[in-house]
Amino acid sequence: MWLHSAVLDNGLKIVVQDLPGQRTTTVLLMFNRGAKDEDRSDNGVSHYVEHVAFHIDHRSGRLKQLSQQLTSRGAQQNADTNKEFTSYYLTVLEDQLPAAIELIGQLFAEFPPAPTAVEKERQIILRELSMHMHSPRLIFDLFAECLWGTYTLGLPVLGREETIKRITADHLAAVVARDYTADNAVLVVLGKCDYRAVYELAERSFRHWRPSGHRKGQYMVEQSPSIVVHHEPGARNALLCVGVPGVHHGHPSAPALDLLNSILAAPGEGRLFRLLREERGLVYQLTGLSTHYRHAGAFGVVTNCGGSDTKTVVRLILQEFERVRRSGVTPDELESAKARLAMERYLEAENVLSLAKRLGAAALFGETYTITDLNRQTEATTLDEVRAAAQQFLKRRVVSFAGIGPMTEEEIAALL
Amino acid sequence: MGHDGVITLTELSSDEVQILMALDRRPGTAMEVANELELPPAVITMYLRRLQAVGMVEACEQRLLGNQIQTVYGLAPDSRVRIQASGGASTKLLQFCSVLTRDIREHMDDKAPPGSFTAGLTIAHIPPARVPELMHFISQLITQAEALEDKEQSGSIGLAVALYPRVDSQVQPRKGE
Repeated sequence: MWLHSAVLDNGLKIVVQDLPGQRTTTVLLMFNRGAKDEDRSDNGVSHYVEHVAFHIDHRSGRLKQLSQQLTSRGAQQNADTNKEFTSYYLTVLEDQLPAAIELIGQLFAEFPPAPTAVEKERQIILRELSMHMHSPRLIFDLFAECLWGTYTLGLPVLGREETIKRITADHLAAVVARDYTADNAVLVVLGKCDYRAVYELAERSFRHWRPSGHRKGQYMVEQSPSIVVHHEPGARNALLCVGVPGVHHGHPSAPALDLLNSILAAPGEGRLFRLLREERGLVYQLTGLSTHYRHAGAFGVVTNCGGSDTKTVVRLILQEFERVRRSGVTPDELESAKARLAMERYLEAENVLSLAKRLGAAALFGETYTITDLNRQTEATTLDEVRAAAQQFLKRRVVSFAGIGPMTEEEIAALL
Repeated sequence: MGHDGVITLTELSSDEVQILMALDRRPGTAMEVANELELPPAVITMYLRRLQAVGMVEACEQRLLGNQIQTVYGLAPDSRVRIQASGGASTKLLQFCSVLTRDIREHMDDKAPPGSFTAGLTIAHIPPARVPELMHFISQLITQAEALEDKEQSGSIGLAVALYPRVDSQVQPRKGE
């Protein structure tokens, strides 16, 4: 099960892994482009490009023909945008791999599409945005805003209504010309495939792509803890996230923080899960958040509770943060957390699309994603390192709070 | 919002007043203001963003340290409402002042130019014997404003003056003064 990688002359990276026993093949094209590359005036443009590029019904000629051919053979295709990356992917039967790679290579061939298509996608995105504003996932946008303000990682992926209404077809085309280029992308093919065949197909489908020559440096991050509440007067339930700034990808404290987060918030086993749900019956769901972006990170606990219990829940979370800062964790807790993290990574790797995204993200930054290396780092983490991470990062002074529900910002401010 | 009309000044909390006072002394980042006031940075940022949204505070500088952006906040120069306070003004009194400004604001013309509204507040240790002198001066000020009145002019100004003894004061106001 070798991982093959190559780089075409135009800079496009290629990662291929044959997964024995797979009946299907997943083709993913990932760009180093996301909300982190935007500013307040064009927030949401990466997601907008994703919509326009992948709405093949608007398109003509060969692209539409390929899409219809693949769809009629059961292909599944989709796209997504996040803070750092934009991905387009298809899962097909092995005999459809040439068509899938050709289709992916054609996505930006006629860009931007007709103005009517750009307008139609605008309406769809505004609808998506409206639904998102009433979805529990909004809490992650609010927490990102808490940690990073209104720059790069603090910006919501979907953008804001006012910016979506303003984005023009010319702006979309400019963004594509700059960032949706061979040297800012990786093609990942996983599943039933032959490396040599994939390489030849990729060369044929992508050789017309040009590099932009634009090298991306570090993106800027504003770190200023805050309190952000989406106030819903009279709401019976509350959704909240309490956390602190974490560390960036590759930071020496990243494994310790991941373990600490699991010890505190793992569903079923985490201290806070047991305290808030099993012992006190205050919450239903509770999950941890330990994210390492390329140049910043986040650490926190996300949970939901009755609106009137918000202050109690926040107080208990802060108390537990303080307890773990003072007393550290036990050897048993640490060993269980190590096993949990290893299991989570194995489970994730069994999802081919998730694995493809991990491999793609690593390749875009010149790295190789291997579970073995990550598990080795986790396994080597000591009790002292976890305690030191707790002392360094879980300071009350840098706590941020995001909430959706009947609580007010003043009520939360009084608890910090 | 402070766009084309007078800003909406809601009642300020004591923390907000302290932040405004700190920024009046010198612009600063959320962390610097937090250190000065010994308040959690999250609380400071929350209030700074809120004050920025109503036009009382603005981001006046951006510092770049490595890949870190630090925003420096200061009082907005075109804020239509000023709360001036001497060093001795207490937080409670400033809160009172903010309530007062809100009430006055409701009677202001929406086209009021920047800085046209000043709410001043001070705690002055005035010898009791000189209080009547001060009251006389205020009375003259009001008389002067009235004397300038020209009914032909469409624009007008409002003047509100409050002079009062504090609860810990030895001065007892005389009725009618």
